[in-house]
Amino acid sequence: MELKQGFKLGCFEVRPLTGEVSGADGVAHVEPKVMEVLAALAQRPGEVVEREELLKLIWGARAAVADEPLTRCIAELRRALGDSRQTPVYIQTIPKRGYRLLCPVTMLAACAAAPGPTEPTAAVPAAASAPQIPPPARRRATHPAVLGGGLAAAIILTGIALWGMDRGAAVSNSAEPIARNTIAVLPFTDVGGSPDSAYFGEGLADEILNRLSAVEGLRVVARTSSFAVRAATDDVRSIGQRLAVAHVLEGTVRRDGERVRIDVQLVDAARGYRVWNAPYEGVLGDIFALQDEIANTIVAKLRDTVPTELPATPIATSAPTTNLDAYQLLLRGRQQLNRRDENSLRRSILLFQQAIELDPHFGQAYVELAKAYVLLPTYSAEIQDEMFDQALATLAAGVEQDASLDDSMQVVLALVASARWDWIAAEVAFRRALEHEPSDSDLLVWYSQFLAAVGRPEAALEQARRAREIDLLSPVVNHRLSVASMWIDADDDAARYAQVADELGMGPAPDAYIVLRLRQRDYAAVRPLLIGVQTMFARPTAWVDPLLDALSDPSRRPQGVEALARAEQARDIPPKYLFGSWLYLGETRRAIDAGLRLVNDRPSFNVEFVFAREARELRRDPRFGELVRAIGLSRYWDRFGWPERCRHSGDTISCD
Amino acid sequence: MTDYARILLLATLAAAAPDALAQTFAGNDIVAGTADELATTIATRRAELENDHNAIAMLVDQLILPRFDMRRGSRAILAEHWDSASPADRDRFVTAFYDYLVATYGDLLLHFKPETLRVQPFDGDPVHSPARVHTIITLNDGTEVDVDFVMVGHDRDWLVVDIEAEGVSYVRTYRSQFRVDIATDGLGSVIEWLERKAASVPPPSTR
Repeated sequence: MELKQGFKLGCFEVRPLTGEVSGADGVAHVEPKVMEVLAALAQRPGEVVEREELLKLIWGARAAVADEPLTRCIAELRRALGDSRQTPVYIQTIPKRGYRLLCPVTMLAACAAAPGPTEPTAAVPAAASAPQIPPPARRRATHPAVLGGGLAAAIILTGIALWGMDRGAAVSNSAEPIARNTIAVLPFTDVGGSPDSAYFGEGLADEILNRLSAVEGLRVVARTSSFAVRAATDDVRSIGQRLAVAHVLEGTVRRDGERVRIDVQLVDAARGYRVWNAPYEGVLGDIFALQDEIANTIVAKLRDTVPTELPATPIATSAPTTNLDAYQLLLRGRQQLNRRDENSLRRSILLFQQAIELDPHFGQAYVELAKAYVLLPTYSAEIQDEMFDQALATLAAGVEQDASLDDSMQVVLALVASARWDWIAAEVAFRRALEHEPSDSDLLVWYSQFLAAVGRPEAALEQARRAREIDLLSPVVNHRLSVASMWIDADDDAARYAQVADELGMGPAPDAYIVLRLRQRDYAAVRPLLIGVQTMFARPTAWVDPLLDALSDPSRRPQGVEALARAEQARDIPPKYLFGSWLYLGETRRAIDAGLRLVNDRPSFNVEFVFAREARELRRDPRFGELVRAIGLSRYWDRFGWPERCRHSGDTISCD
Repeated sequence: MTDYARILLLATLAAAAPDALAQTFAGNDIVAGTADELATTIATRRAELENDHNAIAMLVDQLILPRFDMRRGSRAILAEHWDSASPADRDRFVTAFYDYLVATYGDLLLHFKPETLRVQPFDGDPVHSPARVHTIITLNDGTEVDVDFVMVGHDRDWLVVDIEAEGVSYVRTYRSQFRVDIATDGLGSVIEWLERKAASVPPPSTR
């Protein structure tokens, strides 16, 4: 088949000569190698094309060593086609063999006469359970190569910014057996409600999910993953596979005035049958008791099928408010809060404030309001300290009204303390928050960031792994695992999880990307980032090329040092870039000077980087103790123990 | 000029083709209207503007400045240092920062293409301030970049205080830079640096 002139693949038109993949939502441009892979698969639709064959065909003799480039090309194609590895519509991975194109291919000229876009028809049975065709991905500038970032990376709270909704394809541990004590709670469908009332079904499912998460012996998938996968497919078996869970709880809710009816069903996703279903009816005032009853029944049903012993103590939560209007405002506010953007966060603040007005004793509303204040500066131009002060004032007001808030407000205290480098208070608050919410993947991610910042990279990795166990499909969790892997020098893992995060729809994370690329000596990938962010904000770029030249060719180091010194003198380089650049150039004394200035802007100082291998010489410098004390870590270590890699004597501190 | 510079240019100054749904928030209309007006002006005065940096500065004064809340934006950038600054230093910073932006970006106006920016449906609260206007800018290579205008105001009167391109905030970027510089050398030094930078930019015809 002569495909060079173009061919049609499902609802996409592919033009190999120009590298274009056109869908209903626009045109994506792919690299020549990526297009060659697609064209090779399109030559034999429905057939397995072996990896070795593809490598030999496209990369020739150079393909003898590794097949990573092919993996990258496939990932890029999936992005361009909006496809998923787990539930493929276009490209299927055949483990240990190769790839198969699932769609029929027709020449573009023949397709031109066809009336409108054609949905792909499964060419092989493997695609029989495939979900609806995803819309073609808009070619977005979310890749770090499009927009710039910083060498020294961002702040601990950067993670908050990345706490976005998962919107991408799934990457599950499909090769591993699925444990029986696992369950995902999907958002309940609000039957007969308007789009505006979806918050009620989501909120109800969220409340049940939280109750089940507290049951020892049960592993409950975090909200981000279970809610995202519901948006992608209705097929429960597929959901079970994607989330690596044995059970799925789904339901509907119908409201008629004060009356409420909830229909729930528990499905054995692995075996494909309904374990149990039941209707629950009552008035809105019964909603908290209904949530308890549903959760207790699920635990009872799972007790019969789960090998691990589940506690017999019934779940019994006290009603958080007697004002049901205030409660519904809380649910609406949470829905907005979970969207993680400025407009939604501001809306959530208004809703929580209204809830408090209706019920000034509603403790949860104070905590959620405080959380929104803490998150807002990451998504807006609001000044961090001002918002933090508002959050703390809100918590203080909440505690006056409801003394039982102590546990649930720890997460807010932990975030504020870690951002303000009050490491001791942060550690205490994180530990208490985790006692209260041990299965909160956001909390685990934040704690992982915190641990990396206080020089405990192994513990940081452990928390990131725990987060991924319960939130497999979260791009933020995968990104965190990538970064945590990088800090223990597991660069291959870091690259792998970074790719997963990217496939799941991770937003720009340029700082980690830069560090990883520099470790791979991929200077060409780093250059556009640095040039981009400098130019975007009207900053000179004269230092960028000499710096990268010096890194790629040690004989050009003097020119790099000179260019950077000039940029420093003229304030042409942002402080966090300067700190990182001096480190990379081995100018330790200058790096410490830059670091000591950077402590004046905590939000841009990524303390995690101080413990990276790039900063090894910094940690051995006699002045390292000065920087450690300026960051406040020595007090933390005095209280919680010094890392094994660090030694201290008098004012001198050094770490391996 | 790179695409990145063009992003900011377009984000700040460009024209728009608003979606029908985007009309429910006055801020969307303001972004679109300002951009339309700018496009028309540039099309009719291109030759003059290409050779006269002062003419560009005047154009920015007339069309862009009225749509920006430079004072509020400056306060957001200086953060805690705004509160401790004298009224005179605040005024001087606002002026210096504005001049710096005009000097640095002004001539990029000339590269503006009206069809490259699309205003997206508004998803915020049209009553409470601040609110975001979402736009998508298409770069020369076809890449699409999300650019948000953060606006403050009420009724039909809304002003831009921040611009965010793919999560990179203009205000937060400069806040970070100046926070370190001020801690090291003081606010006066930062203002002088801005003034020097603005004065050192040659007219576009000689660049």
